[in-house]
Amino acid sequence: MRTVLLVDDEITVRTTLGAYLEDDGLNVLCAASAEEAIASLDRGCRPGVCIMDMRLPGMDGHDAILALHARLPELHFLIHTGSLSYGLTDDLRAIGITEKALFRKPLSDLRPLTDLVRALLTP
Amino acid sequence: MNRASQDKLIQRFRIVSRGAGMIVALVGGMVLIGWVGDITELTNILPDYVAMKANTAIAFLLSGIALWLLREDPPTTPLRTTMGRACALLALMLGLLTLAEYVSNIPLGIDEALFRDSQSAVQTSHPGRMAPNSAANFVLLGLALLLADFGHTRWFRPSEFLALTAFGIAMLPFTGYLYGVSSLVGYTHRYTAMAIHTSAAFLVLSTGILFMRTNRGWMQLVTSGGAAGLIMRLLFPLTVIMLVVLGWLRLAGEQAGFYTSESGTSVFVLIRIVLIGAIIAGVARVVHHLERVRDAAQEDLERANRGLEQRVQQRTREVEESNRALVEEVQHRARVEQALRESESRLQAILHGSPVAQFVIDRDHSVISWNRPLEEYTGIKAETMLGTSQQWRAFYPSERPCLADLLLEGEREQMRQWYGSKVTPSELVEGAYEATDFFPNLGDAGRWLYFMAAVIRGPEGDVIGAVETLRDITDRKRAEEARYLDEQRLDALLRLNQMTRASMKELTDFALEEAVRLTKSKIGYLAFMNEDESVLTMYSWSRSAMSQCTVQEKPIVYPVRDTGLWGEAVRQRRPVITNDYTVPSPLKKGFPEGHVPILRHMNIPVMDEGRIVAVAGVGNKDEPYDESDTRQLTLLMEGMWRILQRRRTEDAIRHMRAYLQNVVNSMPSVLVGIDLDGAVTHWNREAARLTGMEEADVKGRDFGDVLPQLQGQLEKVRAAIREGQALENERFGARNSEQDMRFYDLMVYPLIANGTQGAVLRLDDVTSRVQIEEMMVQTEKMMSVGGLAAGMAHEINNPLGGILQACQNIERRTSLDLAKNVEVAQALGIDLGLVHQYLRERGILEFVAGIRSDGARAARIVSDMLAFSRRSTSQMASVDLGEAVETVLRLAANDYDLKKQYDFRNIQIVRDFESNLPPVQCDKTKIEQVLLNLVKNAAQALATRDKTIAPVITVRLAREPRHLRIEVSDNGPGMDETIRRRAFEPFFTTKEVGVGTGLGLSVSYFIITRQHKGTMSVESGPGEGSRFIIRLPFRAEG
Repeated sequence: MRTVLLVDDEITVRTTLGAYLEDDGLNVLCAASAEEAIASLDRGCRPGVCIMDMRLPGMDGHDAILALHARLPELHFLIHTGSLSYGLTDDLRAIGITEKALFRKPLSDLRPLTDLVRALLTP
Repeated sequence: MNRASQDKLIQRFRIVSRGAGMIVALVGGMVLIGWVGDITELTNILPDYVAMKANTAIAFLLSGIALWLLREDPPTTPLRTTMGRACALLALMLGLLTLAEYVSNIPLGIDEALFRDSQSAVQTSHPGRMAPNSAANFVLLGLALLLADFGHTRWFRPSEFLALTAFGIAMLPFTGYLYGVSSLVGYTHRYTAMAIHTSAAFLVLSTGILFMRTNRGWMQLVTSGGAAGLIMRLLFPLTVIMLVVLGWLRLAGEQAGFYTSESGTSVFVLIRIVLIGAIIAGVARVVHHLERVRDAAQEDLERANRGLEQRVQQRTREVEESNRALVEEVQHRARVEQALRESESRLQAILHGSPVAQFVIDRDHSVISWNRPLEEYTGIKAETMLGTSQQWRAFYPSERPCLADLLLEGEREQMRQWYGSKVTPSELVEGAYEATDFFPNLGDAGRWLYFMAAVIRGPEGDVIGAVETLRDITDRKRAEEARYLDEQRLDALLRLNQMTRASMKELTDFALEEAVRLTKSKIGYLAFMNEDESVLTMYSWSRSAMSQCTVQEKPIVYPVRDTGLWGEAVRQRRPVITNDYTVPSPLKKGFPEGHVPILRHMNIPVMDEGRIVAVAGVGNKDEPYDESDTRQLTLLMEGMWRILQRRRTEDAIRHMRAYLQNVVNSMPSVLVGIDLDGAVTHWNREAARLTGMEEADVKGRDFGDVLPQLQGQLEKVRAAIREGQALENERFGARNSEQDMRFYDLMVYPLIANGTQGAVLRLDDVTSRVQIEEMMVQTEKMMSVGGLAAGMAHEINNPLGGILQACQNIERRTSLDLAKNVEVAQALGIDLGLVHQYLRERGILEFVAGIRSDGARAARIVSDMLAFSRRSTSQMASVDLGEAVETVLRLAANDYDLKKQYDFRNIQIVRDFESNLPPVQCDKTKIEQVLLNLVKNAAQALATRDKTIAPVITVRLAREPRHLRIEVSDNGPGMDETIRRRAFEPFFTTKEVGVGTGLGLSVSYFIITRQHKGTMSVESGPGEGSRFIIRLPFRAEG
């Protein structure tokens, strides 16, 4: 069983999404900010997938992805953002993130997201 | 024989001559070919005949060419003549050398120079040598050709005799061949015989040479038209042929043994006598006939002569008769003259004492009377004149006869010569002559004199002198002339005044030509003066001046200070006359080259209220210019100026009126002039366009009747007019004839200028401006919504996410499907099945589902609001709107809500699509979204209406010049004005809470106007249904 790193500053989003993923049998590691996520990696955590909110206090999601990728290149990323106008940037595409991995809040059904997470964790 | 047929005859002789030359040359040529090719048929004709020798053939060729070259009479080119003579000389030389060989018996080597003759040649004394008679003939004919144009006398022409001799020589062997008598052919062992074609060719050649010149020697007789010619042409050939035939008959008869030589001789002598006798008789008959013709002609001539003689006698009698009458008349004259003389003597006495100017001359033209009045007229005293013949000095600059002198001599022709048609026989005095003439040398400016001259006879009736009386009629003449000129000038001005359609140039040209005519000038010009009288601008030249002038690039503008003599009229401000222009003057500045020569000149300043406005000039009158001319020119030109001024004023008024009319008509506003009673006085084009009524239809009618738009505003307008208060920018709405709502701005300006009372109504259709303003407001609102939504979206979406995810977790964690749930429940000792049952029965699961559904709706609202702020990232493509409409109608038919709640299947859908619509550049998805929204709205509206009327939705596609027009209309309850105006406003909805977001129409409006640069509007009224109108540009701009 691999770990999902969930980065979101909204506690409700973190807990409800975390609960759902756990119910799906996944190991969830939560972080309230980019810095916290980076710190967890530095501590030695090795998650397989990261679900990243883009608008974060301090370092934003974009920079966080780049930082995490630098530390753990095999880490897969999903983007979960409340901004409807957000679009993928080229440097993110360059590290393999596609439109398929872009989810916009609010999600009335979480199944498509968890399906993708599981697929990415399956070697 | 007439000239033509004689010419034809001569022509025929010429043809024969030319033909002969060609035949002979041809024969020579053919035989030479025979020699070259050894063809006996050509050289010998028959094998036992002697051959035509090569030299003979050459000589024939030369002679033939010579004849052909020399045939022209007179010779055409010297070269031709020279060449012809050279050929003839060569032929002659050939004959001469051959003869020399025969005589001297020394071969000269010419015989076989070209061809070797056969040793067995028949009838040949020397091989290749031509016959001696042939040689002699070439000599004769060569000479004949050379001497063709030589001959001293009329009849003596050596050429003819030479040709005839050759003819004879050739005839002998020819008859020999004809008769078959070899002795005649002329062969002996010493001399070669003449070949048959040689003899024939000689006959042809000599005939040709004879016919060469038909107008000289004996040939002129042959070709003459009379009896002689006829006899020569008929009898000569006839006799020759007859004699040859007779000879042959005789010989043939004798050889056949019909008779002996002796008896034959006598028989043939008889036959010849008979035949010659017949010929002589024939000739006699011809001569007799001609004599009769001549006698008849002679008789005619004599008759004509007799007639002539009779006429001469007749004329002689007539002449004698008239002579007698003349004598009688002369005698009668003498008697009359006697009476006249007596009367004249009396007259003379009267004249001597008369106050009328007169002078008398005697028979020798010496002045014998020069009375006092004449002294006054002429300024010459009687003492200086009496006894002299210098009377002309009083009247003329050079010596010439006066009327009295001419009458004295009785030379009427002379009178005509000196006085022309001016002199006529006097009606008062018999035998006297009178005349009127102008004498430029008399007085200061010449005088008009009426003068009469009569002869004076002595008591015996003989002419002893003449008297001439003179009367000064200058004043009368001048007055007549002035009256005539005045009339002419007034007539010209009258016509000028009537030339209403003429241009200014045509007017001035006409006036100028009239000025030239009135002043009897040759040339004229007109120049206009500028305001400060410093520059003259040449405007017109008379036609004659233009035609005479050759100055290149005529100047048009003349500064006054640079002008020469012609500027004096300006400087002196009065007419200037220069009657002798040749006299040098310091004022003159000379002419450019090509200028019309000027002998006399007069010009005037044309004044208007003390200012010089133009300068008019004329020139080259035969007589000196005088006061009368300046008067006429001044009056004419001032008249012309007044007419021009009036025309200019009229033009300016007309122009200004047209300009103002144009301004009023070009205004995009309705402008209506009305009087105090409200009756229409002016009606501009825009007013006509708005109402469809022309000015003529509405003039005088009340403005309320012709402007139905103003119903409801009438009282306000009338009050404004009444009180003289302007009414400004009153905006009101009114329905037009198609029941469309239009908005107008109304202004009323009371007129305050003198003499006009009333007002001007200005009405502007501001409907589109109002609509634009409305739309601007909508857009503004939506833009603010968009901006707000963009900032808000994230903040709302995050909590919404939490809510929705929480709901999903609640649903899942209360379900029986998740193993963990069962596990936790067991650990707590709870039956999960009961918990689930409880949640369902208390409706808790439904509440959770409700939270999820409302959360989703809130998310959709946020997303819709964001549409206002999002930049268009849409895909523009060519879209067939018909297809798009069909897609939308299919989507609507399958829409769950529509099917369930609004019974979409019962709505009649009417498609009114114009055929062949072009595709539109647009974003298909967006447009479909808009259309679906409209169709849904229509269906929803129809659900709320009276159920008794069948619901209909009409979708109409129509082409406009640059737009595609899409209409979606329903026959539902419609909207009142308040709702209509807010229809596109965001969050404005008439639907129940939860049915609509209040954003559908405003998003549609945004898509159409902002993203597609189109327009969207709605027309509706309560109970009238609604019609949404979208206009999409065919090509998206920018």
